[in-house]
Amino acid sequence: MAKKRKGVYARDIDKLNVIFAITALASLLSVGWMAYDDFARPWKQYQRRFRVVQGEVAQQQLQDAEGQVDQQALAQLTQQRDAAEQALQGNSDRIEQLDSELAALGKQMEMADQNFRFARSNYDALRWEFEETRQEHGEEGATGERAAMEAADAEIARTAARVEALTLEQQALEGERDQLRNDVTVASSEITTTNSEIDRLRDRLDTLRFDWVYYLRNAPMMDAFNPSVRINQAVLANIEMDLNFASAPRVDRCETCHLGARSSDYESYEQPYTSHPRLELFAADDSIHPSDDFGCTVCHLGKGHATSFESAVHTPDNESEAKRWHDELGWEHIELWEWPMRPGREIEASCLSCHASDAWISDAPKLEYGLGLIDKLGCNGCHQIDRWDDARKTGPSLMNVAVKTTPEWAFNWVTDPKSFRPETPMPTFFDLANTSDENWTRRNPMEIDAIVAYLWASSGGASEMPLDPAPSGVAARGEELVNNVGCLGCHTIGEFEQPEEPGIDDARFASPRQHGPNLSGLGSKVNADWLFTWIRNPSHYWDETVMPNLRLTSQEGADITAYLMAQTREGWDSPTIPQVDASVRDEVVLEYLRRQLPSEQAQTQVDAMDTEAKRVYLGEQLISRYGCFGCHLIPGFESAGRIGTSLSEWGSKAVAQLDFGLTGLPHERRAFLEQKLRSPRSYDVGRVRNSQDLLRMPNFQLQEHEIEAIAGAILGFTDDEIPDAAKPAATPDRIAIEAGRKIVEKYNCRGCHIVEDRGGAIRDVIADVKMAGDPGLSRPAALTFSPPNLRSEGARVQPAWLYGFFKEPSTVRPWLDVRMPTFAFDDAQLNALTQYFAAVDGVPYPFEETFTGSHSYPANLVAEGGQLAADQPGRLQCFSCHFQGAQQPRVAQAQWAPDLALAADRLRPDWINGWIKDPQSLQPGTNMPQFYSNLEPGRGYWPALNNNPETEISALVAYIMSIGK
Amino acid sequence: MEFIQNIVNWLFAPQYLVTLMIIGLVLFLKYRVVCTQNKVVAYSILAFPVVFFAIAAMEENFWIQFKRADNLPIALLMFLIVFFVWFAMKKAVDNDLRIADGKPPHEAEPEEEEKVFVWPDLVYTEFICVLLVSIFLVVWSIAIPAPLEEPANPQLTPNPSKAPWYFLGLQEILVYFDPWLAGVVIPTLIIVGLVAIPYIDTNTKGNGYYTFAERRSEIFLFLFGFLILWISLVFQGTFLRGPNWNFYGPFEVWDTHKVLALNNVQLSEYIWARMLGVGLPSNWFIREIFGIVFVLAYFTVLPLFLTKKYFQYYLEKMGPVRYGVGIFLFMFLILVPIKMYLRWTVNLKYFVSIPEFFFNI
Repeated sequence: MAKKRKGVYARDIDKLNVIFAITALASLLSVGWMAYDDFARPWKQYQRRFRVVQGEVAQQQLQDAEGQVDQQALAQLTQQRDAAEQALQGNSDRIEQLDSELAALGKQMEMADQNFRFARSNYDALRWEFEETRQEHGEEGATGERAAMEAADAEIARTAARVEALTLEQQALEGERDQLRNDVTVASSEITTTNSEIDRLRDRLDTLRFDWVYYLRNAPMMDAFNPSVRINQAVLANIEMDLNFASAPRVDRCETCHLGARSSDYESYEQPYTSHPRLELFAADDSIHPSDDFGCTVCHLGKGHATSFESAVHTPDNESEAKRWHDELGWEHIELWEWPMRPGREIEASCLSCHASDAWISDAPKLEYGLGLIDKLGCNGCHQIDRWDDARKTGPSLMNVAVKTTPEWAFNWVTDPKSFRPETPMPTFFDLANTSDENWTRRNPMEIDAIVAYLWASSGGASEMPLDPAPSGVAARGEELVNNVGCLGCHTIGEFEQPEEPGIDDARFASPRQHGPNLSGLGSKVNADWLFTWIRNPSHYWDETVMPNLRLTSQEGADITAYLMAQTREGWDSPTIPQVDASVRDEVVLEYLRRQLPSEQAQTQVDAMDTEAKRVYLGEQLISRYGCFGCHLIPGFESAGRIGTSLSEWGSKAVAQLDFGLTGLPHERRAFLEQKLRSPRSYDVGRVRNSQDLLRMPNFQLQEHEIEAIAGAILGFTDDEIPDAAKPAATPDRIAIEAGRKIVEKYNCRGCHIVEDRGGAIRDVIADVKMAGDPGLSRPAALTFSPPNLRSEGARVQPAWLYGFFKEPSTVRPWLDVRMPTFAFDDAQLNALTQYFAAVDGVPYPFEETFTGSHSYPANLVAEGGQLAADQPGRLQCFSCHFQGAQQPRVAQAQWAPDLALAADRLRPDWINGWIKDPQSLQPGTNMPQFYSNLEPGRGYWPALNNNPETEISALVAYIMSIGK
Repeated sequence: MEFIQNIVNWLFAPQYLVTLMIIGLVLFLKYRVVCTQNKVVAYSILAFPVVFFAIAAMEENFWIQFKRADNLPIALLMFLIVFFVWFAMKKAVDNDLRIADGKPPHEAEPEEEEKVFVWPDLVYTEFICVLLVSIFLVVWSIAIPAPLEEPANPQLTPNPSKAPWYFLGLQEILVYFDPWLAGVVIPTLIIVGLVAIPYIDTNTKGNGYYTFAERRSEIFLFLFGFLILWISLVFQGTFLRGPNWNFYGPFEVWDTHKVLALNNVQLSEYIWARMLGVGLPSNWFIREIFGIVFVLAYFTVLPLFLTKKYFQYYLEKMGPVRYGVGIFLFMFLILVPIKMYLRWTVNLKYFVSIPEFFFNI
């Protein structure tokens, strides 16, 4: 048409046609490109490559499986089968006949079965018909229907009989045939069993091939139906995704690319296919946190529903990884997602989303180290942190500080605490990044002087010291006591050797001996009267102290005092307070007064105050400003609140709310936090601020690994709301365990005891002391003088005994020098502790039939047990190691064991039973002989009990539980 | 280099930028013949946005904003606006020169008068254009995927929170006006005004052909409203408004902590406290009386004065009703830059400010 009327049109139609053709083609191409762009998602490449990886793994497994098959046995089986088949040849006619008969029967069976099923449905229809008619017309009106129904019932019986008859016939024929073929069948099935793993792997390799089915299923358009390359997503019922205005079940698609995460088969492969670390805890279907229930982003954060490397908001661990990712994968920092993935070194912080109140998170050592440091440094003194809401103040009480030390010492201590005691948690408040210019150099000593003045002016309690007159002490005896009675479970004297790689391997528990202060230099700090009173009864001076009472006699107290007072610090024998600048003091007093008063009145007030009044007034103001009361009890500040920002949800704080000052740091939470910990006042540097607005966080002089650990923990304090359903269930046992662990932590039980397989810091100290005293002693023997390992303590002792023991410790192991101290536990704590030990071992609490008063053992069993235990050759001779009342055992001291007479009130009979059976499994390394390593009848020791071990053990238990009754 | 960047940053402060653009527009219209007929000048004008963006994009801070996928349309918009304004002006100047020579406009030439077929001359061409635009959009969407932001969070709004680009002009006006004016009255008047144009402007000159000489004031008024009060504000909102809606020069770091002293003063404070030296009256009506009188006078006395002095011609040509509506819209149009300049020069906050019932002008 266009051609015909050429020349009529304004435009050249031929040219337009050409342009149209080109644009149409380009349009087609662009649409094709769009379809391809939509189809060729990066994750599909990962899945294709993973299929190759799966093939490699299956191939390897196949090789291993083939190597494991006993080829000789297999050849034998094959031979057997061939021989059996040979033998079958003779009966081949009969088998053929049977097969054809069975085939014929099968056809009949099919018909009969169909008749039966039709008859049954026929009957159901007629029955309904009859029931309805009878309801409407009565019995008489339904006779016809009844007849029809009954006829149908008869038909069911008839057809059923036919099916039964045919079934019987079939079974008979099949039985005969199977009988004839039995040998072949058995041999074949054994071959199949032997080869089952190989066959399975071969099948698997078959399914992993890139064949036409694979390409067809995953072709564009076809992949809408049932593709094998598909997005793997976990929809989490219990964990929601916060959409601000609503929430929806969280969807994690990480395993679309991280295909090997759940299986241990891919440990040797690189990301994204590598197996998840610690599969017993994470990801695997049988782990504690299977990814079907917990997903990935609960811990890793990032964008769970994303399916590309960049949009999932991966976060590199360090600069070099960032660069590598950028080069290889086109990674860019995505600022618009509030929750970028946690980098590897920070991942443990996520544990706190659910386990925020757990006392120990032992599978996250770095996090636990960080939490331990926060606890030790007392961050919660100034910053509210949910976890420590009911914690006691970290530092010692200053309510009566005047009786303990001197103002001169205190001045120098506050100036630079670390110079007196390098490992003290007390931070430095003065001469920091924002207070070190010329003005502040003059102002700092003046401020410290004022603080000390306030403390001494308000201190009380001097008249109460000491409790009783101190006899004169001998330092050498004191040293022996300190080394032996247990002081060193919590304290160190002299330089403490840090564990080699702190922060990574159980660091929190490597130093329970730093629970209390290092006692070096104590003589330069405290006065002897105070020390004598303090060590004999710590709660007399400070009722909230965790220092227990070691029940020292007056003489012991005096000896220890003499020893500790001799521990002086060089350069601190007579500390002084330098002359402070009075004019600076006047200025600063005025500065504080002007916050409350008009300038003129403030000036008048300053003029009216004498020096002492100015010092005390200013001291009070400064304590209030620096928040000293966050860690110390200070008169006048007993109920003062925290001065710092809350850290409870700091990990969720918007980065825009952080003032990075002029540091030029990258705007990230971690960078802010680490700098804050490294140099708390550095965000003031370069800023012009008046002295009241300066940052006031003190410097803890932390090392880099400590900073990383603390920052890692704080980043875990988020406002994540994980529903209770996803958290560990709060069973009574769990609640008891958590409550108990907190007490164990607070009172540093692990300084002396091994609790839940960790702790016992004092053991090495005691062993060293013992070996120094007796060079012939081996280390394992020396270690037996340590406080007992509390493994399975709950299963071992009766709750009532444990309660009494905590309340008032009694002697169980008379040969130990180290003492169980008396802690000032209240009833709630005592109950929590006893229940804790029972809950850890999963034993009944608090009562059990076998150790309540009503339980008694048969007299003859008790008598036989006594005979078996007796100290005669061929018997067990229990008292060669165990105490018998006060009578010492014969063997060397290192092998002594507790008095069996204590058992009736102390031990649980079930535990004694298990202990006699297999002591090593309950407490590896124990001296208790493994009498009954073989429990077969006849392997016992006592003919009167038929040498039956089980009976013998029962008799021993009966005897032990009856001693002294 | 830094010196030049500082100068550009300084020049891009809104008061100078808007002033420069007004001067530029007036100069362009005044020297339109040179701008469209002289090749060197013409190419310079067309090349200006290209060169500016090309050089500016080499600077790190500008590049950060320029490369954002959602800012790209605005950059494109700048090129297109310059080109089409220039192109239309060139056509208009061509015709004006012809008319001055006594010839009909180009569009009225006999060979242009001839009728063409809807198919294929119109529809076929349109169809090809549809295809081309589709290809462009498809390729764009593949090459530069739409940026998605995090889920909206009422506790944590983005800083700066920006309207979609086509509303950035209104958001910019919010800086100078109370929300009920900037968000309700002014948008309504824009729509009503645009709808009313054909009824107010009944001048048939320029129908079917480009011309400037025959429609000077109409075109100037339109370009002023469109370029200065809309496009330039979109540009400012996109590239120059940073965190906390502070103004940032094109080469300036968007520092969230930048502090600007925005101490604005009410008209009532100027008059009562600063000029008369007495405190503010407690009665709101007395307090705001000067502002109220000013605003009323602006919409009554000033139009009458202007009509008498300058616009007599239009009143006669358009008749009282058309002229009345037109002058009202005109006064509102001019109020926007007046208010902006008062804010920039004397920190005027509002003419009338009655917080007692949330009424501000």
